[in-house]
Amino acid sequence: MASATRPAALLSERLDSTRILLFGGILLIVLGMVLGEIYAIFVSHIASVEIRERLFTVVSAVGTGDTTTIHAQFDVIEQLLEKRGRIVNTHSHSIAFGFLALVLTVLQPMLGLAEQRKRLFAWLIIAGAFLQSLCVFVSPYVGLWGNWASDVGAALVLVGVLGTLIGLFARWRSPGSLNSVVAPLLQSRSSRILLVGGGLLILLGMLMGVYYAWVFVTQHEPQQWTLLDVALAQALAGEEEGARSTIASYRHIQSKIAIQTAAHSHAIEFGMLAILLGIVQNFVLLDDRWKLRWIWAFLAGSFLLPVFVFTASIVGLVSAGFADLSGFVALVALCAMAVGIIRYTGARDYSGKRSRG
Amino acid sequence: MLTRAQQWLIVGGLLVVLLGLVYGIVYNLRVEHQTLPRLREQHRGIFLAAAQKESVQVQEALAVAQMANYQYVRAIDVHTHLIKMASVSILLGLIFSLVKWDEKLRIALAVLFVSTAVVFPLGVFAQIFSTSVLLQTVAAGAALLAIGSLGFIIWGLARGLRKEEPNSPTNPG
Repeated sequence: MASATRPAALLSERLDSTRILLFGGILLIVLGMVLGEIYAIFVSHIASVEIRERLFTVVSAVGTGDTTTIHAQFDVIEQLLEKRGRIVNTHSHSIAFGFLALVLTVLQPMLGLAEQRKRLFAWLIIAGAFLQSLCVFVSPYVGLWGNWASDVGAALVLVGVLGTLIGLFARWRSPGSLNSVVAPLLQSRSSRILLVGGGLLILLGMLMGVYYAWVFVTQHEPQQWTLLDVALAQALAGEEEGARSTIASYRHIQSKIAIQTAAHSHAIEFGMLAILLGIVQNFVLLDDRWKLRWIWAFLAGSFLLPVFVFTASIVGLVSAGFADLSGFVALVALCAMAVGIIRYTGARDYSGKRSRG
Repeated sequence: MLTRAQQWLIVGGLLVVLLGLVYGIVYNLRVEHQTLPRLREQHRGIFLAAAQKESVQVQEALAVAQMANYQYVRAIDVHTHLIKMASVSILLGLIFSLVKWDEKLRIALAVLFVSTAVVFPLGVFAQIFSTSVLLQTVAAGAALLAIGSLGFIIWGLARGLRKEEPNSPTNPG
């Protein structure tokens, strides 16, 4: 069990369940964030413009009764939507699994299981997470078995989580406390800033969610179908300009839905990440001044990203660009802290070897 | 080993994660593979019917697509919120020792938060089968209670952190 000065209970010198979940979780989150950046910068905006242009062609074809063109345009639109959906699916699952792994990392000392069993469950969670995310991504290229394999990945994660729960119950009445492991990790200034900042981010995200749920149900969800109906009526009446303008409004509503949902979820995810980073600050082997700089950079990027994402639905691409930049700043800060953790584990391994002579 | 409040948050959160994973697997196996191709066909069908000047079919296709989309959005919503709220619940459980309220309030906040992590997605799930305003109210009410309990938890966390003395052990040796 950890003493107040050495967080030794959480990170040992071997590849135990804690390290497997810690590094696997960080890798899942970083890969998910990189995919998110690539999607936001190179895929989302471009695909959105192309879909809108092709819908313009579709409404013209509706007016002239050209079903061949409609089929051809929808073949492309469906491919673009499928690609976007698949990338977002992989991005969000990778990060969600990463969070789960990091949260379970802290619980490892509490599990009443042999280390071998804990390692097995940890590997199941990480392997299942990678399998699920990867198979979702490649499923269009490999056929239906890709979907089945992604389900197998999710099932592996499920078994790992179930094992964790069993491990908790196995040690339910034993002496020792989670707080004696975690509390010493939360004493530094950088931890405190991250804990409160993270909590506020999650709260902000949830407030955005409630607000947007009301807007979605009462306005955006019914509006998009009304606009589609109007656009079709205009196309059939030969009002091509009017139909294109209405389709543009229809696509604008759909963009708003995607953007404001993203703002809500990203605020919460960055908040969770901030709290997790607050727990591991003692393992970030960097100068205190640089630790504080990186956490402020992370929090700044984390608060600004959902704000800019939200305003992108009003202001447009400039705001979206700043959202991408904010995400990049948060990602760089996260990588810097990951480097600090790698330095810590390296230093521990080295000092452990030296003490064994 | 875990305080009562932590038991609710951590064990409750793990159980909700399991529920979210099971839901996701079952949904993906039974529904998702068929749903997305069907949604795409329905959208295409709306425009084809319009091009063929079949106005009755256009209205029918719009209504069918609208309902299918309504159900799909909510089905995904359930899975996402089960997992996310459960993850937040477990995370709060890990740092709950720093939340400085009296023990009864701490337990109440923990129970409330983890309960809303189930009730809110259940309310959304029920909306797949009914557009009743009551169900929307249940889901909205649960969401507001989740926000309220989280607000109090963060307030307690800020109070707890103000009372502690910070130190910064960075030497791993």
